[in-house]
Formats: sequence, C-alpha cells, structure tokens
Amino acid sequence: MRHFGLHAGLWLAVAFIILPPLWVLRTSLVPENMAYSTEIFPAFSLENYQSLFGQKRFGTFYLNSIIVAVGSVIIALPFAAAMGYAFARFQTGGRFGRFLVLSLQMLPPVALVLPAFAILRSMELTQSLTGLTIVYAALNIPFLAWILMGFFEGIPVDLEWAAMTDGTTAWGAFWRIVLPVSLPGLAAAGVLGFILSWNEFLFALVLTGSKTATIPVALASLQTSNGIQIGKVSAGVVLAILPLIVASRFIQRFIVQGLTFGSVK
Amino acid sequence: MNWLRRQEREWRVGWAFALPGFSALAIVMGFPLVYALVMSISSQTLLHPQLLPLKGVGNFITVMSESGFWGATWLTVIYSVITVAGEFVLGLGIALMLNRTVKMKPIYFALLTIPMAMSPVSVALIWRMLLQPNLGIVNHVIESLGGAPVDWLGNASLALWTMAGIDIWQQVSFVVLILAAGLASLPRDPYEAAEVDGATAWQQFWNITLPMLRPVAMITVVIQLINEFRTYDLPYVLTRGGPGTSTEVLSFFAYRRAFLGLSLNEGAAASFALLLIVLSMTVVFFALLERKR
Amino acid sequence: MLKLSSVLAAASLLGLAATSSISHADGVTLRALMEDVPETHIIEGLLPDFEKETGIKVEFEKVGYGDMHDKLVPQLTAPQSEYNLLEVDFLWAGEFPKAGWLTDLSPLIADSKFDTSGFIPSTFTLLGGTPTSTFLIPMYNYSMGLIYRTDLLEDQKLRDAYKAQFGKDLAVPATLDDYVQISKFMKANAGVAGAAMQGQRGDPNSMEFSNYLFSAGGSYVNDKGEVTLNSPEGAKALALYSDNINNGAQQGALSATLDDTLRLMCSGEAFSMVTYWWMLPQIDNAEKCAKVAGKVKLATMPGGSGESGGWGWGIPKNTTPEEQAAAWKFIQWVQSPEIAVKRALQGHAPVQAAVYENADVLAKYPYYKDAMAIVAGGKSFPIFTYSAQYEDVLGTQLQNAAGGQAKPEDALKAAADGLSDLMKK
Repeated sequence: MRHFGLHAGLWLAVAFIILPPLWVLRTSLVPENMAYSTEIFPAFSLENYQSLFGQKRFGTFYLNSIIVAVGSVIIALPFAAAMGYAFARFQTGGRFGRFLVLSLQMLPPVALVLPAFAILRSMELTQSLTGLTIVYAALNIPFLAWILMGFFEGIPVDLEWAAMTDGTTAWGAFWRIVLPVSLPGLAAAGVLGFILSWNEFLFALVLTGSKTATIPVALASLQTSNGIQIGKVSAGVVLAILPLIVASRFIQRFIVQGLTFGSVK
Repeated sequence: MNWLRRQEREWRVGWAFALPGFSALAIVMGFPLVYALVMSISSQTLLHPQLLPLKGVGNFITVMSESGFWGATWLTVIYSVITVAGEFVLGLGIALMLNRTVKMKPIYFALLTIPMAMSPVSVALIWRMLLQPNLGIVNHVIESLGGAPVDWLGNASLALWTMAGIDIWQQVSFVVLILAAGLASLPRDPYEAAEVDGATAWQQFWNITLPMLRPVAMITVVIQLINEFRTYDLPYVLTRGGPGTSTEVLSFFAYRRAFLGLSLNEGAAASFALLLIVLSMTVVFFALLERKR
Repeated sequence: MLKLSSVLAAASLLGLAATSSISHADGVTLRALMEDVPETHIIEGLLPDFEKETGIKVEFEKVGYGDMHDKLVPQLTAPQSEYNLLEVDFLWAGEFPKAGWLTDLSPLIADSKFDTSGFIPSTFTLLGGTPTSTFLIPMYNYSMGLIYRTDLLEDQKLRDAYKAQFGKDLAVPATLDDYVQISKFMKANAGVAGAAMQGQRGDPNSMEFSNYLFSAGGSYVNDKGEVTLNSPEGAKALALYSDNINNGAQQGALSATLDDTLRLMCSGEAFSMVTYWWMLPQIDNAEKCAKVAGKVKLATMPGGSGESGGWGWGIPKNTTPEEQAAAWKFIQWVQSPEIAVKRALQGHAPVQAAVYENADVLAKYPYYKDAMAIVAGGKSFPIFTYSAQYEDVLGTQLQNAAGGQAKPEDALKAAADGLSDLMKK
C-alpha cells in the first residue's frame, strides 16, 4: 500500500515536470506553421530537425557545446574537489576564504563579460572553443567546490582519522577513502558543471563566432524579427536535452554505488 | 608540542589542497574581477572609454539613489525567497520519495533531470509558447475545462508569480539531484538503530535524516539563493522587465545600465552592489544557522 | 609570483603581436554580423555574383536582433574588429558615430562619385545623415503601416451594426479616433481582436506607440531639439493607445511581441495590426496563413504618418584600409540600382524611389505603390546616443499607463522627462 502511495506521488511529480517537455517534443515534430495549433497532433513532419541540421548547421554547434561542457568539467573537478576538501576538513582560508570564492559565483555575468573578452582578445582566444572552455572551467570551480564541500562535511571524519593513525598521509586518505565514498557527490557535481556550461549564454554569445557558437547561442538566433520559430526552437531544445538524459543514467550508477559504500563496515 | 605541530601540519596540508584551485581562479577570474571593480569606480562608458577621472563611490551612489534600484532589489529578494522555498520543499519531497523506491529509479531520474537540462533561455521560450494567452495550450486546456483564459505575463500582479513558477519548475530537478545524492550518501546505521528502537518514519525523518542532511541542504539553499538572485534570462525573454517594472529584477537592471545605457561603470557598480547584497545575505544566513547549532 | 607575472606579460605581448597580424595581406574576406531575416537571405543569394565580379569573399554571420548589439559592442571597442562590414539599425545611428566606431563615408562617396540622390530622403535622415557627414548608407527600411482585414470590412452584418451604432459607414479608418473606434467595435461584435498589439516593454510597444503619436499629430522633439512629447496631441495619442490596448486588443497584449501579433493575425483572430509594411507578403500568403490570405490589405497609418525605421551599411574604424576599401566596394554594389531591383523582385523593402516605380517590381508586387507612400511619409523615433535605452524608458511608462499603475498624465510626463534627461547626457 505504501509502495503505491510512493509511486503515485512520484508519478504526480513526474507529470508536473514532464508534460511541458512532452509538448515541446510534439511541437518539434509538427510543421512550423502548426506549432501553435491546439490539436494534439495535427501533422507529422521532420522539417524542423532537417532545417536545423541542414540550413542551421546545428550539428556543429552540438559538437561545440559537448566539447566545451565536457572540457570545462574535466578541468574544473580536480581543482574544485581539492578546494572543497580543504574547506571541509581544514577550514582553509577560514570564513573569509570560502566566501571570497563563493562571491565570484554571485557576480552577474554582465560585470565580467567585457573584461574577459578584452583579455581573451589579447591572447587571440576569442571566437575559439579553448577560450570559452577555460572561462567555463573557472566559472564552475567555486560552485563545484562548495557543493563538494557540503558532501565532504557530511562524511564522518572517523574513517580518515582511522587511516591517518595507521600512517596514511592526508592525500592518501583523501584519495583512497574519501573520494570513493563521495562518488555520488562528485558525479552530481560533474553533471551540474556540465549543465552550467551547456546552458550558459552571455559569455558564449560574446566569445564565440559563427563557427564556434554553442547551442544556447544558436537557439537564441532562432528568435528572428519575423517571429520566433518555435517549431525549430522546440527541435533544438529536444536535441539539447538528449546528452543530459544519457548523462543522468550514467550518474545513476554512481549513486547506487555510493549506497553500498555508504554502509560503513 | 605534538599538538602544535599537528595544527601547523594541518594548516599546510589544507593549503596544499586548496592552492591549485585558488591559483586557477586568480589567474582566470582575477583580472576580469579587478578590472570590473576598477570600472565600477571609474568614468568608463562605451562612449568615454577612458577610466579616468576616477569617481570613487560616485557610481554606486548614482545607481543606488535611483528608485528603480531599490525597487529592483526588493523585488529580487522576494523573488529569490519564493523560488528557493518552493524548490526546496518540492525538491526535498521528491528526493525523499525517490530515496525510498528501488524499482524504476533510473527512469524517474532521467525524466526528472529534463528541465534542468534546458537552458534558461529555452525554458523561457518554451513557457512563452505554452502560456501564450490566445494560442497557447495552457489557456486552451483551462478554457476547455470551463475556466477563463489567464493573462500570465501581461498582468502586472501576476507576471512575477508566473515567472517564479516557471523558475521553480526548472530548478526543482536540480534540488532533487543534489538532495537525492545527499540522501544516498547517508550512513545506514542510525536508521537501523532507530528501527530497533521502534521509531516511526516521521521521527526518523525529523531526528536522523534532517540533521544529517543539514550540510548538503544548507549548501543547496545557499547556492539556489545565489542563482535565483542573479536571474536574468527569464525576465529578458518573458517580459523584458515588464509589465511596467513588475519583473525588473536587479540583474536585469544592471544589464540595462551597461548595455542599453552604455554606462559600463554604472553597470559594474550595480553588479557589485548586487554582489554585496547577496554576500551579506549569505553571511547572515550562515551565522544564523551556526548559532542555532 | 615572479614567474607568474612574467608568463602573463609574455603571453600578452605574444597576443598583441599576433593580433596585429590578423589582417592577412592576401585577399580580404568581408565578415558582417547580420540580422537573420529574409532581407539578409535575399542578399546572401546574390553574394556569389559579387565574388565573381570582384574576387572578394563575403561571409554573413546571422543572429537575432536582440543579440546583435551585444555582439557588436565588444568588437567595436577592441583594437581590431572581426566584423569589417556593419549592418546598423537606425536606433544605433546616434550611438555608433558618437562613440567613434564608424568611418565617415563622405570622402568615399565623393571620391567614387556614388550617387546618393536616388535614395528616398527620409531613409537617409533616419540614419543620421547630414550634409557634412554620412556614416551610414541606407540598406532597407521597415516603416510601419496598418494591415487590416478586408473581408470583415465588407461583411454586411457588421456594416449594418456599425452604421446603426455610429451612424457612419464602416470603412478603412481615416483618423486615429476612427481606427480605435472600429477596433473596439470589431472586438465586441466580430469575435476577433480589434487590433493585434505588441505591448511588451521596449522595442515592441515603443515602435507601435510612435505610430499613434504621429497619427494624432504629436511628436517627440521639434526642430529645435526640444522635447514635445508632453502635449495635448501626445496625451490624446496615449489615451487612444491605452483604450485600444484595454478594449480592442487581444488578451495578454502587454506581454505580446511581434511574433505573437503575427501569429494572431495569421490565424485570423485579429482585425488589424499596426506593423512593418513588409509583413504583408508574410500574412497574405496562402501557404503560411491560409485563413486570411487574399483578405488583407495595407494602408498608411490613419492620419498619414507612421513610424519609420531602417537599417544602414557602415564601415568600422578599427579595420585595415584594405578591408575598408573592400567594404565600400560591397556597399556600392549592393545598393546599386540593378542589384536593388534584383533584391526587390524577391521581396526586399527598397530605399530608392526608382525601385518602387520599377515596372517589373510593380507587376509582381502591386502594393509597393502604397508602400512607397508609407516610407516617404514616415517619421522617426528620436535618434540619438541613447535611443535604445529610451525605448525601454518609454516602454515602461506606456505599460504603466495602459495597465493602470500610473495616471496617464504622470506616465506621459515621466516619458517626456525621461527623454530630455537622456538627451542632455
């Protein structure tokens, strides 16, 4: 009986979350001029997807987004994990340090965009994916560090004390004991970093060119003066979501692993 | 003696861990940050590209003495509180349910992360389509159920709530993700002990889950507060700050200053003012919570 | 620490050195940031001809209007711009020259004897052209007029009801009062919105309101540069605008943009729409708007003057002389009479009188006759450094008045004051 209630609750939540995207999926598969029709499915057409990949070169933007998002996470995670651990266990920098780092996250991107552009310009990194990846990695670090700090704090210190009394170094304790247990946290942080980079708009707008644009920039360009091509936007959104659905199945495994590791001794 | 050495060793070890991150941030973000700070006390606009004469706090005063600034700040505070509260309550509920189920978990997970996967601009565009007052599907459903169509974004008293609702819809999956991971990392022992003692589900939740989840929960709330405070894409696409100024949040105000008003210095000042406000909010929040312990 | 700063210094020196060699000696490629609209696509189709003729390659980067300004500004403030050919909106025609980002084209015009007399004068003044300095050459215009449903005007039941109620015949409105009256009537009796209005704050509602203002005989500034918005005509315009938005327009008008109004008109749910005149072919299109194709017509804004807008070509200052020469070649080519006619035959909105009168063009698009009157008679939104920001200020006040958050007199005064404040800056 309880099982039923649980599943009912989850189904309600899922319905709330998923009905809009389902409508988006439907809109992407009807011709553009019928996008606003209130019939559930007036006609089937792949024209939106064809137009995106053909005329709008969406394939390139897709690839760009993947490169930049994955790259920025791979770079940011190690820095963020180490920093988060220092904050959690050693109170490094004290209150001031961690808030200083966090405050970088609090600035609206608007303030940093033009200076960042000026620097990257002088290093010839504008309109390139490398420049954008570096910026995203840096933008991600504070955020990821704080999340991981939260996870590390939630892990009882006893394990590490035990290991260090046995003679392991702090680094060894971190690497061999803390990290495996915090895989759910790392996975979550990684996915989050990926999503942040995947969806970021302002820096991408200013720092990329016509060949290196990412998906948010490409989607924004579908808002033409003659109207928002909502059918194509829908198709673009559907395509943009796909990698993340894949990614979430991936982290699911880590979270399950975390469960079995969590049962200490 | 031993104790002192250990303290020192700990201090050094801590910095060994943290230094790479700090350096990376200093290198990549340091210059833009300093430049933006300097810009905020300068005279630099798009029309007057020189930094001098320095205006000190002049820009801050100009920006903060506009009634629009305080209106925007207050609006942003209300907005952030509503959205974070909504996301947290809903998110925690869903995460708890998710934690209890074993079957179909991957499917739920995959489905729940969909809104989070969408960029704020996409979310705004999609919801604009759904909420279109004359042609959108939401009003159509309402009408077919016998109700009257709602002016979601054109009604000044409703627009902010509509925007908040859309934001919650998108962000709740992020909160679910973090809290679910947090719940999954919790050790089993306390629960087993509580079962033996005969504690109810509610008691377990209140006395075991919540306290143990506290670090993760607090971080989530803080991060979400910060994110919501910086909301910019949603008002930009949905309403451009209108109707009137009912959705003009602080981030949008700063953007207007810099890009429309061409006053880079004032835009920077507004951004830093925003930063200071958020920072103080966060510090106060943490201080209050620490005291409760 | 020392090592770090020397690395940074080396990197920036290297970067600077590399930057100065961006402009390759061999073959200039023109790169322009263009708005993603049919006009751009039309020109894109003709680019191969240009390349064949001159050997200069042209690349268009297409984006939405909202992002153009944000992408242009960093480039124009950098030591060297990656865009060496510019498409500039009239709203920025005050800002860009003031900031010193554009080259003065007058010497180029004089040297190459480019004939500018063929351009309709209003399109030039729109872009800030004066006898002594020209920074922009008109590209195409987007003046606004009234698109309305002919079938609803001819419907006998509606005609009888209207005659009974107002004692006049139902016809194309001649004055602004007439228009709003018909609009409200249609909403009450014909089951459609009287007017599809784009009331979103900023460009949408500022542009639309301007038509009401000019139609009522009002203006933003007079010849001496004084702000004249807060006048009896201005008050009348605002009153009629608010009336129409609240009683004649579709629900949710205050959040509607051009996209929304276009879809509304296209689906047959609106009687009229004050909009850019080249929207007519979009709506009078059997494939896209089956419900209203053949039933819509274009008229000048009741009162005779609608809001005028347009785009111009410009050349950024921070580019090499070779790039500037290439850009000028392109501008001459694309605005030459032959190419202009070619563009018009595909639906381009011309800026030269001769093109509107060209026999082939008129054969294909008979309504271009009406369009020319609209373009010639159009008045413009105030063009100065902060035009874009003023759209936002005015837009806010319009919404306040229409939504009831401010008394109309106060909103109008605030709008007028906002303009004078910005003009003084």
